[in-house]
Amino acid sequence: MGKGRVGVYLCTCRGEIAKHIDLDRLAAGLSEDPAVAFVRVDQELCGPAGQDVLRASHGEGRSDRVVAGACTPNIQGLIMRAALEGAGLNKYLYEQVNIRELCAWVHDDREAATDKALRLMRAAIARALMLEALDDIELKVVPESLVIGGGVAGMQAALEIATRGFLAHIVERTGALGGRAYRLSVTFPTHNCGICCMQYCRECVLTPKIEDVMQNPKIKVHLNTRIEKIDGGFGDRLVTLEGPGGREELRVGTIVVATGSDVFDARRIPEYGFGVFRDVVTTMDLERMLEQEREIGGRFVRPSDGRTMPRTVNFIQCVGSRDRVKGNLHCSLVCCTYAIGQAREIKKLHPEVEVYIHYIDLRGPYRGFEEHCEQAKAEGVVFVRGRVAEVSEKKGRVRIRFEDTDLGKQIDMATDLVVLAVGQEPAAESERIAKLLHLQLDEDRFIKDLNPNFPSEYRRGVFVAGCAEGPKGIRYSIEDAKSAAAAAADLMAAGKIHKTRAIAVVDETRCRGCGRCEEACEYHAARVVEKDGRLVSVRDEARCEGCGVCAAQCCNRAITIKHHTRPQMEALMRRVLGTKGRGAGGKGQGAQGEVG
Amino acid sequence: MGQTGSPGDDGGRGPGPGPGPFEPSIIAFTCAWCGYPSAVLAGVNRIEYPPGVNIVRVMCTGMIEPAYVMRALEYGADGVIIVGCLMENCHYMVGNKRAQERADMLRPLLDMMGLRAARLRTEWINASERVRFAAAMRDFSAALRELGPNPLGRCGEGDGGEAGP
Repeated sequence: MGKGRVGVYLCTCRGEIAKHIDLDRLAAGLSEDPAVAFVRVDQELCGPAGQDVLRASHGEGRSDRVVAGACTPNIQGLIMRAALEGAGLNKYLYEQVNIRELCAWVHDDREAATDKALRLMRAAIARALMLEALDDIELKVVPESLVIGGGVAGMQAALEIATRGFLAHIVERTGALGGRAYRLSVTFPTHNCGICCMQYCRECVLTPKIEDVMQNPKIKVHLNTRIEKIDGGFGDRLVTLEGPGGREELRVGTIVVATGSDVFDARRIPEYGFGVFRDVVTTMDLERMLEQEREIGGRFVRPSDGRTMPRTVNFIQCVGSRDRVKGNLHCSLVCCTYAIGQAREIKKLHPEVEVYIHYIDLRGPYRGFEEHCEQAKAEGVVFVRGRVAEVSEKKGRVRIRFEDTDLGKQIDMATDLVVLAVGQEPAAESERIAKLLHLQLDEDRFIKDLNPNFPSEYRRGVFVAGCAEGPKGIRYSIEDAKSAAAAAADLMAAGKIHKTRAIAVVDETRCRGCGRCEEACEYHAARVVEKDGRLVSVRDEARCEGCGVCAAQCCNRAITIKHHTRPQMEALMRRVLGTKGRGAGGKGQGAQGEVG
Repeated sequence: MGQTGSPGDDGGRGPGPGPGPFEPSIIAFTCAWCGYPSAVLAGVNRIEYPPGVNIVRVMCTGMIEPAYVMRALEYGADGVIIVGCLMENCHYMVGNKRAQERADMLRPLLDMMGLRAARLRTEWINASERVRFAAAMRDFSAALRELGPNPLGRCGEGDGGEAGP
């Protein structure tokens, strides 16, 4: 064993790694490295016994930094790092190589996989020698929350946050709370309106949840208000609102994004004739018709004449969903459920009406959906499998042409009302809000929430809830809002957060204040200020995300990303490519990476 | 190459100038949000790619300085590939755009230096696109095999002009 300071641990991953990599050869090869203090092999470093090994072994004091060869540093690596931290290791002196996913599992050739593991481990050791011990940044969290959107998810989130004792600001673009759920006449599975428990309540404005929100002293509702700007960083953000009362500024510690979704604009599929033929409506239009029919009566009529009740109704499913060409590729999840609900509602009000549902396949990711379907069939709703090709009009009646794949027949039939089950797509404003908050969008352009397995601080105090994150039913939006609110409240209750120190620092002696970094920084963390009579760039620790764009942009190499320094990177590359020089600290920026 | 006789020390390039196929040694800079996770997923799904691919994790492809690419080639890499989030979808908003700009700027320079522009590639993928990740690695490796070894690595024995220990 060497006299170095690096403790090296290898994990067999209960044989998974050992199966594909010769760990004896790897351990022997690494022991030759003079930087290495010892190499220890364990069956399962992330397990309780493995953690004990890490703690005990590091506690012996023979190593001052650790390199582990195991699985992915993002998940199990955090457990191992925490165990070592418990034994006194600074977490910035820990390096983990994923010899499982990056070597063992992708290379059939055992020799080649072992060679590669050896290379990557040596490189990690070279980098580990350059690492410096750092402290996390501690930031205060302002005990107020911003909830963007006043739909069911937003309202629920605000209520939860208020219940935990923090002030919540709901900012709603429109003039009313409730969102789209408020415009629904019946919802699945309770067959109530989206918000209250009283079945067909016209005056939903006074329903319990909206009333709870309006009366809660811990909730401030900003209606007809737009978010203009969001400034600041993790834990302390300055939000500029533009509302009926003019400009207003809020200081909040956490943000819940509940901007919801829009319904697909059926005009984008011209062959269904929406907007051309008056007897083609969307399910949102039908909601309104059904609601008025129940309350006033005589409103379930063909829009083309405003008088006669439709004798046949045809629902077309997946309008704008699961359609890569004219709509969105994703399934909107709720359309089968609500269309069947509406079909049943029509049957309930007017059993003599013939109702057909044209579907590709029925999807209802909810318990109770199957029963819902069965009941609809029992009530006389007819399900027709196959896509509808075209909607046309002849002699004042709409016609639909479709294929019944069960019968294997092309059918062209006249009908009185065509209902398009439109899907959900990202809200028009969501992209702008996402940009303001530096959130990514997913492949369907919904706001991407981070993998829930990641530590909460990765979210930087911004949580996405409800349909903003993807199509959801009301029940799931509410659950989502509750969990987002709980995470936000937890942050505010702690009052402070620890943020990684791996952010940009400026060497003021090298900085010439040119401002290229200020231009490059998306987070407005870099700012050129005058200091002692000259211009230098400074960093806002709360805002800097450590992406390193500014460092790469700096012509003077005045900017370093802590924990990702130039000497560290060079040492790693040099070693991984097999060049023998160790301690690239002599090159580049000098003493930065030198340790010990 | 082969100076030390120690395995794994040759950047995966195999036993030097002797017979046997040339196995390109690649530095794959992967961002922490899409590039690296897609590599991990390729592993989870056991999708093979050549062992000469050495994955280097960075927070964002936007932190990759042109000098890093040059260093990698100077140290003997046969190729450098930068793997980050899809365009318009960078975790840090525009880091991948910066990386692409820098790569576009570097490529003609690599040609001028006789290193060939083809030694530098960028790939913008989603975190879940493991198949594409592995395919990109195989494809790049094959292209480099065609192109031949890095002339710097051959001349300077890949030590970047500095003496060994």
